[in-house]
Amino acid sequence: MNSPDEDDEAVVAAAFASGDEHALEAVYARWSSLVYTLALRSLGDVGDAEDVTQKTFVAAWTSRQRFDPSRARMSTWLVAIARNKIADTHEARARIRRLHQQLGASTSPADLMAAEVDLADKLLLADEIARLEPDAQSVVRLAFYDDLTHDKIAERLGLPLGTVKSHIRRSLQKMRSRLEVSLARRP
Amino acid sequence: MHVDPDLLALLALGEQVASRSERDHISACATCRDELENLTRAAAIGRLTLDAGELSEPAPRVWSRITEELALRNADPVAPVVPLPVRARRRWAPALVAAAVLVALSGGVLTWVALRPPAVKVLASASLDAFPAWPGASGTATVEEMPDGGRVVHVSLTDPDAEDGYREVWLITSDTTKLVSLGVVRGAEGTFTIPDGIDIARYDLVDISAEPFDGNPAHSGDSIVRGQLN
Repeated sequence: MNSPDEDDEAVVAAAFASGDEHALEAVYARWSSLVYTLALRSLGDVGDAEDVTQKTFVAAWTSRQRFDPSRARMSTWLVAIARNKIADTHEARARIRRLHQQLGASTSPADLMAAEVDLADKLLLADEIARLEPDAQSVVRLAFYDDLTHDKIAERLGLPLGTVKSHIRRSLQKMRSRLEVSLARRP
Repeated sequence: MHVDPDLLALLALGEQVASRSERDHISACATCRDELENLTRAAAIGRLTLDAGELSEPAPRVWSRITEELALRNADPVAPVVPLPVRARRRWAPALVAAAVLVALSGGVLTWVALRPPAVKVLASASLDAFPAWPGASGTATVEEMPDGGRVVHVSLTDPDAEDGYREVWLITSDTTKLVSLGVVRGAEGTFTIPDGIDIARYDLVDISAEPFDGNPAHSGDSIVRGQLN
């Protein structure tokens, strides 16, 4: 019952797990902007965000034997690695702050990361919405951002009620599976 | 009979569309309730994407650094992945086409089959099990035949990091009377050339040992993991 997108993704994920270097290129082309944006917004520094992006894909590649495509989506795996790398950077910064400014109490990496969880999920869904087919995307935008009910959306877009409902269901299901609980372990 | 999935999706958006009996079913049915909860969470986060803004692309130098760091066999280290605008990238196909174009530009051909690394034949593999002194360690070894006929063994290792000393990869005969060192493994994995004269049917044990910095090239006797190739 997978959508074609999910099937394509599964093919690339399997090739990646088996060590196909071109799958790494494809994975980078697909997910580097997500990882980079997550790092950039969290760290607020282009150089650090580039470092995190590099470390994330290098770590994903060198620990690919621990990636099990049947247990986690590629996006979940990459976001989990990126969060660790971002946390490491925050931790390193906190350490330097402690050393140089002798701060009595510093924020723990766990606190700093609390905001990240939501940001990663938000960016994943923003990306998923951007990839919906045009009709589905219009329906979802009207439902989410304009808070219209499905019958109003059908009226507005001149689409049959059933079509609007199935766009809503399929789109929400895609988003739900994108947010799957991470089973990925720390690489 | 579960509730219609279309209806669950509308409920997740907060529309009041369920009949009394549908509401009763959902509150009694764990499957429908879980699905509704998950869809509701997706919808709630989805609504927050209003201000998520556009994703930013990393500079091409990031990909160059990754290919350099990994010393990828087939990637052109100076050719960045062609970034595609987010909204245009709706499927994997364009990304693969971009990768294919990249390969074509660097002298390759345009098919997915050709995108795969040169045919590498797996000759044998082993899962490496921990010695009692190294609880929690584990590893894998795969012997591959390269297109030029040479053989390599790719090993991976997870273990508590050796504080001092280094880790060395060995091939050992099954009666443990002869052994040959393949090299030092740094970090979680490494690839080593198997000398031409070595018959892996005889040298069929892959061993990774902890070695002190003592200048003694012999096996320390402190094996971390070992496994039999088959």
